[in-house]
This record gives sequence, structure tokens and C-alpha cells, in this order.
Amino acid sequence: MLISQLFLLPRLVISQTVETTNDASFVTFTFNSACEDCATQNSTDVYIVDVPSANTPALAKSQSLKDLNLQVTLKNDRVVYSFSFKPGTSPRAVWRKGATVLQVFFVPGADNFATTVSDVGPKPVAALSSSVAPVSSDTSLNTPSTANLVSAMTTTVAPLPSQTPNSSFTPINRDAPGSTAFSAVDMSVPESPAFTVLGVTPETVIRPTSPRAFATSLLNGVDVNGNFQSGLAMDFVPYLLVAGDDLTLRKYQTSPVVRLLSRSQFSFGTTKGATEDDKSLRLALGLHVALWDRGDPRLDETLMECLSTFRLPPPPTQLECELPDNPTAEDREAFRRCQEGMEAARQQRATQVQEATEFNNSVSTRCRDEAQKRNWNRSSWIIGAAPSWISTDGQTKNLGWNGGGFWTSLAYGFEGVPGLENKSQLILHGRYRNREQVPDPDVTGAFLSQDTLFFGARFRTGSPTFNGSFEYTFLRSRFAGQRYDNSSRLSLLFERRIAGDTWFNLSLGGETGRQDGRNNGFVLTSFKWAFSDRRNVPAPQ
Amino acid sequence: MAHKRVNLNSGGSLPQVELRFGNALFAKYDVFLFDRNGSNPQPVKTNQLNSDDIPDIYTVGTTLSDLNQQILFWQAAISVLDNQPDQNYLMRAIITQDSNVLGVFDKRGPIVNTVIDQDTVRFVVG
Repeated sequence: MLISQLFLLPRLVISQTVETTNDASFVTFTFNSACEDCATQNSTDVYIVDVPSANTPALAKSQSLKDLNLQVTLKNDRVVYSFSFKPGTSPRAVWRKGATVLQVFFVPGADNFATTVSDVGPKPVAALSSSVAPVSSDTSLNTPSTANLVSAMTTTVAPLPSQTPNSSFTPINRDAPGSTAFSAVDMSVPESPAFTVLGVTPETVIRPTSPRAFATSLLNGVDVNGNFQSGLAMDFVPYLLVAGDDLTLRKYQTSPVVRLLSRSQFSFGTTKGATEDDKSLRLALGLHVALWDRGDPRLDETLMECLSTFRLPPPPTQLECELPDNPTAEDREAFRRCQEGMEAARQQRATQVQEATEFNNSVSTRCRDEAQKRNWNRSSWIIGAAPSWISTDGQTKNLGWNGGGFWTSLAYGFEGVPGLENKSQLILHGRYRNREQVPDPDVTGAFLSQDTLFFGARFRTGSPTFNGSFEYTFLRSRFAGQRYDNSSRLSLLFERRIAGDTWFNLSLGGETGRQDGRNNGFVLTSFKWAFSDRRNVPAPQ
Repeated sequence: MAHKRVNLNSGGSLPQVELRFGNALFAKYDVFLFDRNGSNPQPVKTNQLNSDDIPDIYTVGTTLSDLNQQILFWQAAISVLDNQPDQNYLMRAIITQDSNVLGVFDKRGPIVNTVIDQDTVRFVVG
């Protein structure tokens, strides 16, 4: 449903930032309660605000804002506000009053490099909306088949492994017009690289736990002619399929080889063509390996000690009634008494087991949460790879090479370094994508083949009152038949709690490169500072 | 449900029970010995962990003749260690006598957070 009008009020609320807002053009969204689930996104000449329908805001605009072309779209349980803005103008969102007020400023100019510098909290639209392509862990990743896959597989976010380098950031498209990518590049290795290469996040992933289940899943994914069916998504660890029953915790803890095998996960996925007429089948095989992980919960002695407080119920007063072999009269009498009291004994046992289970669930959740916080920045090295193939006629026998991806993330947690241990993390991340299909910026609906090499480095440190982040990214990409285009970006973010919920945010950034023959190299820098009532830089946990 | 049975060699040594928990999950467990009528539990070992260096294997009973028709009972609280989806647990008891495996008894199922499971076996000395 499309609504093209909203009630716009003429006046505005008090500004808390140090910027001069008297002449600024802006729109104000006022919510009844803190909108933790809201999202904003800066697209091509369109700014989008995505809110839950249960918390629709009142809108107002500044007097200086003329001709606001606002559209409101209802998508399931979300309301999406979108409004266009003039080229050369960059919207800038500012959350105030505990996320109950959102102001979107339309600031002219090149100095508005970081349009979400003082934005805090609500996430980019792509990370929240189930009606858009799923967020992948890649930076420039949505492929043409994403959309049709979404129709076949509802988008949900797959659970992240606790072992990977912190990946709380959502990916960004630094090439998107109005990109505000000061930081927030996802530097994790995708858990299921096959799905990432295919550009999908399937809702249902088959995770066979035995060789038989694996074989059955594969057979179910093949039609009578031996061709793979589309929409197949599978994750499995071959070692656990074969030897999971014999894999004790001590064996895992004491054998590096077993650990490596246990942490080598394969993913497998297929998708169909982009349109109904398109019979093509795309297939990808992914591998995710944790080569080294000092944050592995199975090696965390503190976690084991925490779990050792588990409760076991007392033994049953009476086991299931059964006469022993060659029963005596005494045995028969005991059997009779057993039957009389069995129901009460069962109920008592069930209650005791239930109580112990509830206690243990609570302990386990707490212990694992504590372990996750304790190990958030531990050193690790994880790699991932995913080759893919395509068959234009959907026949498995005609599958041909369709490019692939490779990822690696090396995290260092400063273990043993006073002042940095538990507070800081350095991540080095690299990835390469070959023959990735990306939308043609010049032709709507067309796609280009792109090769991309990406390198990123991030250092984060923090405390309850201070957070800092340094990030460097380098992107080398080319469309098929064209020259490589190199660019790099550097950003620094600091924030310090002033008082209560008021934070002082400072961000600096610069970008160089993009020598693609069509534009010259440039350097873009900015300096922004603002007061905010919410944290901007994700704090170390 | 009838208790499973394991036949002991009357000329052999006391049996041993080893508990193993698959898929590298954490477990805390107890082992008890019940009389021939399924009453009067006596601890063989309680509150043991599979995460320590102590082998999870125990000798059962005092004399072989007394073990006849007695019932071995074990229970464990098992926990996942990460948030991976679709995890399964396996609680396996291996009964041996003089290094000969007399029986392997498995209990398995899905596990999301923690599970308490139990199993029994009746000794038959023959």
C-alpha cells in the first residue's frame, strides 16, 4: 500500500547538537516510545526511515524545507517513509531524547561525508527489513539472483558463531551514493560462504547430523533426472557426521587435529534464475574453517568451572517396576508395592528433573553469556572459501564455473598485554570475489560481472566511558573488460561519556583513489562532532 | 519399560562402566547401583564432570555374586557450549568386564540449552 501524504506540522523541537539548525532543512519524527527497532538508509537521492508499525511517529518539518515529497509504504509490520532530496544534499539523521525523536537534516555539500556521525542506535534498513535482500557479510555482494531467491527463501539472519571475530557491524556499500561509511564494514568470515556467494540467507538450512541424514538430504535435493533442485541449502561438518558420536569433550580439548576437523564446516546451496523465463541454476559449495581460536568455548576452563555448578536430581526412590529373573516371594511382594507407588514416584521424579533442568538452563545461559563477553576479542584466524557454478539450462551436467569468493579474518586480542587485554581488538580482514554479478549503475535491471579485492583493518578499544575505533579499508575492483579501480578509506571515531546518557562523539575520515579513468583521484575528509544521548561506537562487550 | 540386560561372566572380574558424551558437549553425571527390585540406590560415583582429567570409567559392585540382578542407573545433565543450531547429544555407557565390551547403551536427542537424561541396565551373572 502506498500513501503519498502525511500530516506535517510546521514547527520544530529543540536542538541538542552544537550545529546551527536555524537555517537547516529537516524532518522530525517523534515516537511515543524509544524506537530501538527503527532504521535509516541513504539510497540514491532517497532517504528511507523504516519503523515498526506499532510505533508510528508524528511528523513535522522545518519551515525552510519546501516541496517535501514523502512516500509512506506499509510492508508487513513495518512502515517505510521515503523522501527524495536534491543531488548534492546529504541527509543526516540525529536521534534525540532517548531515541524518541529522530531528525533528518538535509545539509548541502561535500563536507557532509559522514551523514550518520551523530546517528546512534537504529540500524541501517538493510539489517532490519525482511522485505529487502538479506545482509551478507560481504561489502558489495547482492547478486541478481538474490531477489528471486528471496521469493523462494524468506530472509532471516543466520546465527553467528561465537568464535568468529566480532561481527556486530553491518556491511556497507561504500560505492552507494551518499555512502556514510566511516566504519562498520563487516570483517567476519561468513559462516556459510556458499550462501554468501549465492547472495542468499535461506530460512531453512538442512543440518544433517548423521551420514544417513546427509545422504537423504542430498537425495531429496535431486530430481528424478539427477538435476539439483533450486532452493537447496545445507550446512554440515563432515567430521561430526562421521565421528561426532565418539567426539568427547576431552578429545576435543586435547587434540588440535580433532579441533580443526570439528571446526571445518561445509555449506552447499542452489538457486534458480532471476526470472520465471530464466531456467538457470546456480550452485555453490562453501568451506568455513577456524584454523585457530583462543576464544573457543570448549577450551574455556572458566566456562567449564561455571557449568560444574549444575544440579542433578536425587536418584529415583524407585526404578520402573520389573520382576527380577527367578523371583522369590519377597520379590513379588516388592513388585506389588512398587506398582502401587509407581505413579507417585514418577511424578516426584518428573518434578525433580524439571526443577534441576530449569536451574541448569539458567546456569548454562549465564555461563555461556559470560564466556562470550569474556572472549569477545580473543585471537583467532578463520578462513572461508566458496566456488560457484552456473548452468544456464538448469541441467546439472552443464554446470560451468561462475566465480567464487575467499575470505580470511585474523583477530588479535592483545592477550597478556596490560591495559589492552579484555578491552581491545585488532582485526585484519581480506576477501576476494570473482565474477560477482552486481547491478549496472547505468542500466536499470542489468548486471555486470565484477572482481573485487578487499582488505580491511580495524582496531577497537573501549571502556564504559570511552570508546574508540580506527579503521582502514582498501577496495580494488573492476568490471569485466575494464581496468581496476582502487580506493581506500581511513576513519577514526571517538566517543566519551560526558554525563548520564550524553556522549561526545568525534569522527574523522578520509578517502582516496577511484582512478577508474572516469574520475580523478580525490581526497575527501571531514570533521564532525556532536553531542548525543546514545552511544555511537559499539562498545566492546 | 523393561530394563536392558548385560550378561557378566561369573568367572571374571567386576564390571566397569564408562560414560561418554558425544559431539564435545559438557556433562555432569551420577552413577548409582539399585537392588534387584529397583530400590535402595547406592552411589557408585556422583557429581562427576566430563571436562576434567579424571577418566569417566568406574568399577561397579563389591562382589560379582552380589551384582546378579542388580540394576545400574546413570543420569547426566548435559549442556551445549555454543549457540550453534540443531545440536544433538549422545549419552553412551559402555559396560566392560576384563576389557571385553559387554554392552553399549546410547541415549540421544536434540539439545538446545541443557538436558537431563538417564538410563539403566540390569546385571545378569551367568
